[in-house]
Amino acid sequence: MLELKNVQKKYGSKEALRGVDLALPRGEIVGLFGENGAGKTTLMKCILRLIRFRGEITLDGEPVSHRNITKISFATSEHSFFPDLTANAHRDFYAAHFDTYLDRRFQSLMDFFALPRDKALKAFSTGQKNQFEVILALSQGADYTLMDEPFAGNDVFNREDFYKVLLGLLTERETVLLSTHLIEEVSGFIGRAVLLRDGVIIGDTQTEELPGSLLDYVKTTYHYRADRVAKTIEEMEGET
Amino acid sequence: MANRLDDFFLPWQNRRKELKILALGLALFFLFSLGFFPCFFNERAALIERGIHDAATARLLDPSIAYRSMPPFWTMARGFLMGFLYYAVAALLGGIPAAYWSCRKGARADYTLRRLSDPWEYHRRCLVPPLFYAVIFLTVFALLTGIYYCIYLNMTPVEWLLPAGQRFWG
Repeated sequence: MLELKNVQKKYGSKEALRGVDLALPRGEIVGLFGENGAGKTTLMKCILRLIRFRGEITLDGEPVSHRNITKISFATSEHSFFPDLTANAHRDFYAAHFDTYLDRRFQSLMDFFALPRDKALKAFSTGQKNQFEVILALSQGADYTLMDEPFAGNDVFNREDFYKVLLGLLTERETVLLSTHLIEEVSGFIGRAVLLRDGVIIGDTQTEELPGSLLDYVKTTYHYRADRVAKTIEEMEGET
Repeated sequence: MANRLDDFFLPWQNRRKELKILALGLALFFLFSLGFFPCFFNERAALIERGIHDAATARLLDPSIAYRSMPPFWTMARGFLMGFLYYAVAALLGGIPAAYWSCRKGARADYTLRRLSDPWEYHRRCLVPPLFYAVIFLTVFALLTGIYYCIYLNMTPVEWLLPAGQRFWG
């Protein structure tokens, strides 16, 4: 279980996370939703200890440290691979540094996405880079995979295929925390939705318990004002 | 051995290429440092040409002339050896920030390097190569300074040398 207790993070005077409590058991695909600046990326970076924070984050009862950090993998839209290396060189690096590295999964996903193996990553298209980022995260053999907007720039067919593959290859020990704005698209693939707003969790539900759609739940929880577009246009028209 | 050495470089660094550049730099700075010898022998010859010393006996011929000794070692050698020091400083001041910057160029490779089970791996890979280059250049600098100073002492007649405390720095 990955557990966050009262996690707080400040950037100067701005509070990015304000006492987040969250528990992620094994074997779940969790969607993390929130507007830009809600704290999704910050939350993931805190889990990975990439930034300093206040509060407590434990992994199977132990604080996250270099001893257990390899149980968590990370796919980010910023990309965390080595741009000058080829896919095969990454495979060698991961095999050497992660005891749990899953080569068969790596090879299968490389075949599935038809990515070149001997071309430097910097020569990949944006979509290919995203795919490779996700392949690396899933091939690390981690128990928890954090994905931060991993498909920004990929076409819809590509994403759809990927969700299906993801469902097929994850074992019951693996948990995925997926941060995305594509709420409707992932609604059929996630089992739980966590909503973050201004650094606070304002919603946490199992998707099968929702009476309506996931998008409705997000809109309701966020107090989305559907009439705000019409009002703004009306105001602007009044000015002219 | 190759794999162990690789652990001290960033994964995308070409170790062979880096070491070749290091060897080339050392060779060029060494060749330049040899310029000390023409300078040294010119100074030595000048003392004889100006009739200050007897070349055969090394005796001082005219004590009334103020400039009657070899210049201090460092005055002659500084220009030919300081390149090693400058390179070492550049490796530290430029190489270390460049290594960290390269981890953020094009992607956030530092995220991966900081997620490894060895907590020092990221910093080790960024710090060791520039430190290694600096140490190599400092070592060669110290060695050449020592060797050249020995040559200066041994090839200059004692009578032509400055008093013991002034021979090196002046």
